[in-house]
Amino acid sequence: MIIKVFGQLTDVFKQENISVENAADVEELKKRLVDSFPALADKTFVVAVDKRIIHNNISLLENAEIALLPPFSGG
Amino acid sequence: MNENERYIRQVSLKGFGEKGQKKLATSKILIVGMGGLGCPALLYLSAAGVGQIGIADDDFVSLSNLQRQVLFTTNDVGKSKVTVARKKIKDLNPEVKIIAHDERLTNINALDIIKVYDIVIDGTDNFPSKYLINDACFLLEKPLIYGSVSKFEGQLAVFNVADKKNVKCNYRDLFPRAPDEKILNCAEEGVLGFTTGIIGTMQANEVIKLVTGIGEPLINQLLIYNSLNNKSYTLEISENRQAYQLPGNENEFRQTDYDWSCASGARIEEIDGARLRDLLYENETLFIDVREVEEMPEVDFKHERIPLSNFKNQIENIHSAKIVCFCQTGKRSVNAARMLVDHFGASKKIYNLRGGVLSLHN
Repeated sequence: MIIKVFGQLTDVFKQENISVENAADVEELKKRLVDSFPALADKTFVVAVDKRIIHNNISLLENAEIALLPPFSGG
Repeated sequence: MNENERYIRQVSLKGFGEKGQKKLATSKILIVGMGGLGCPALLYLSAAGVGQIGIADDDFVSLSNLQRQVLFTTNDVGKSKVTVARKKIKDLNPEVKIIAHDERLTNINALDIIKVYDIVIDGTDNFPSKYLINDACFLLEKPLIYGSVSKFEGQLAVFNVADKKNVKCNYRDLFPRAPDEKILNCAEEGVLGFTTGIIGTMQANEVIKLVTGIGEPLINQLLIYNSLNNKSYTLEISENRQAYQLPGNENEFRQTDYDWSCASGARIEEIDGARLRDLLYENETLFIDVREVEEMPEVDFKHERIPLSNFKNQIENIHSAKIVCFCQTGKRSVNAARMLVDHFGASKKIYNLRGGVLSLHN
């Protein structure tokens, strides 16, 4: 499962794309990511699945395209 | 119109034409924030012949602005941004009526200012302003062109405009609440002028599309642009109303604290350099520089330095009844002030130096 990360989250992951083992749903994925990257726990971000921002836990297909998106405030 | 020659290159565009030009000439656009996003947006919208443009900002031009705020020149340092901007735009296109709002948008004045305009551009650089503008535009049903940057990336979206299914999303459908992180986006985070230039120009482009009806504005979508690899990523936004609460009417909006959602009764008072000098003569006032130890310039009055990175651990050691927090620009110190308010509630008076140390040297 490939995950794209944006903005300041690239500081947490040290890269823009990370690869993780398949997760059954969004909550499981988040938990797994926080286990591997503890700094993520303090960050505000939303999750997009297949280019849609999602608000609830949904199950993930094997080839789902995941993106983690923090708010930006610079201008 | 005798101005045909000025706009001939855009009027000759199929789909735009005289009709599009007329629509622009009768439109009223508000740009909040004359910074890295607002400057290019203002330049292009003025050049294109928008009828009336409001510009809102209470800040002054500083030398470190010039690398991205391309409307201003070295001679403008220290001058009011909106005053300089109005003068420059008069030279560029005297047909455009510029209304200078020399003030920061607040819960008190925002609705009255925004009401007059057709479309609002958010060119601000902080979360409280972004949420304030979002909520005001939501209440007044004004289209909002949102833009933001973080280092080499930018975000762009169009809010409060109905899509084909008559769905209107706003910024809170994306991010229901402002983040509660230790160091919010400090103004000192680096940024290249090109990144804000690209996003600000794209915001102006969205305005042109909405006004003239050409193309496909980014309604209910978020575009993320990365200037390092030129990749862009567009996401669909859907309604998420149960995740947040907006002020239900104008009165509620005016009573909502957008400085920060502070504990009851306790709040941060924003002060300027003159008020700070007054406070120097009042007993019991502690001045705290929350910049990191190596940061310059040093200030010329008595103070303690408690870097924001270690601020929380030191709160117990603070005993004064009045506390003034300051940093380079006044943004990080708001976070320190907020920690003090959260910790001490209304038992201490907490001040924040607006504009920070840089404002003292202007």
